[in-house]
Amino acid sequence: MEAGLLIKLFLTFAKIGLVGFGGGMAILPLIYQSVSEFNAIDADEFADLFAISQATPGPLAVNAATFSGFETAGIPGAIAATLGVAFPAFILVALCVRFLSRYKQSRLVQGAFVGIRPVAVGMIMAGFVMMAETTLLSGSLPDVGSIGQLLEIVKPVQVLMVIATFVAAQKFKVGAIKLILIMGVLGAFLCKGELL
Amino acid sequence: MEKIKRKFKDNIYLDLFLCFFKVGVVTIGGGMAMVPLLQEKICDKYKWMSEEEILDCIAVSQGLPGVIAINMATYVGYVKKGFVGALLTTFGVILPSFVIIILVVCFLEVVGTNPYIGGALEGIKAAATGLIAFAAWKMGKQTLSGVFQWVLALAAFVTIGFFGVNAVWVILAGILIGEVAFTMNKAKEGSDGSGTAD
Repeated sequence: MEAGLLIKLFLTFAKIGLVGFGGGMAILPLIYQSVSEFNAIDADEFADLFAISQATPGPLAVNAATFSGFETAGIPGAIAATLGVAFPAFILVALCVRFLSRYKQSRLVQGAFVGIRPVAVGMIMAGFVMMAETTLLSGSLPDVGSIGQLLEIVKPVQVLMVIATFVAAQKFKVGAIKLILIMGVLGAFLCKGELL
Repeated sequence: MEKIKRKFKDNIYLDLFLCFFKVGVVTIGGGMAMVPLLQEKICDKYKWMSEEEILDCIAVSQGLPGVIAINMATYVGYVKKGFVGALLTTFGVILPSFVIIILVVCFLEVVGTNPYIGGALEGIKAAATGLIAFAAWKMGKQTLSGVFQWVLALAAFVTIGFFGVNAVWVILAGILIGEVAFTMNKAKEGSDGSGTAD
């Protein structure tokens, strides 16, 4: 395997790892550019990659890196690209944790966390809205004009499953992994045939 | 066998790797889907961090460049066991998606057209959505102790969730507001001696 190609894979995906603020959708165009640098991929295939990525474990950027590296240079390529995408974040977070734990007692860090914690709760709520939109609706929320339209695109089985999951976790303290497995099996039969 | 089991029991390095490997296997649909799992494992099961510390981890991970899942893994690993811990958690969280993507690429035809797999994924996404709602409810109950916290949380929720503002700006705004509130609180405490810092 050509070492130069592996290094190029590593560096290209390290770039994504470095600028991918906020994750996910925001860096989609950059991921597309990087992948097409190595593979003759058209928009359709990229949409497939995106769908696979949404449907398999792991973040889009990591999946795209693994995919692109594997298609370009087999397993070594996949390793180089995946390490590349993880590397910058790894270093930055490690430095940040070091800094935070050293200055934990400082007023500046304490003050920052006073504001950051409620914001993080809000971010989780926002994460729920984003997930709910892709899980529960067969269209997109901004296109909905009336309650009637909303009812048309809502997926009733999935709504029930979301509610069942919440109740099982909150009332009956069922574990997260167990719930994911149960809903996966239920979905295989109840939602059979729905497109990825 | 018993001996090996005992040797690996309560080995924090192994626990760190396995915890994030498991989370990596079941996290479908992006970084935020990881939050309920992390909270359950890290706060409730292993007691590595408190609910507040997990929130710090989430905010820092969102605020820094890079993939949120990797950031959170590195953060927890580094807090618990420094550089080696961070390596283990990060490898743990990446490994499942690495293996699965390669398998999917090799067997794309089968996976893409199987109706049961499509249905299972719908179910998994529904579970992930319900779990995030649960995480928001649980973390909110723990952290949103007053009007100040509620207003900040709701403002972040609306700006990110409905107006699509980049989370980085919202976090920075939260930090600034936190600094101001903290300083004012300290000043009040200094003048009348009865204020409470939170």
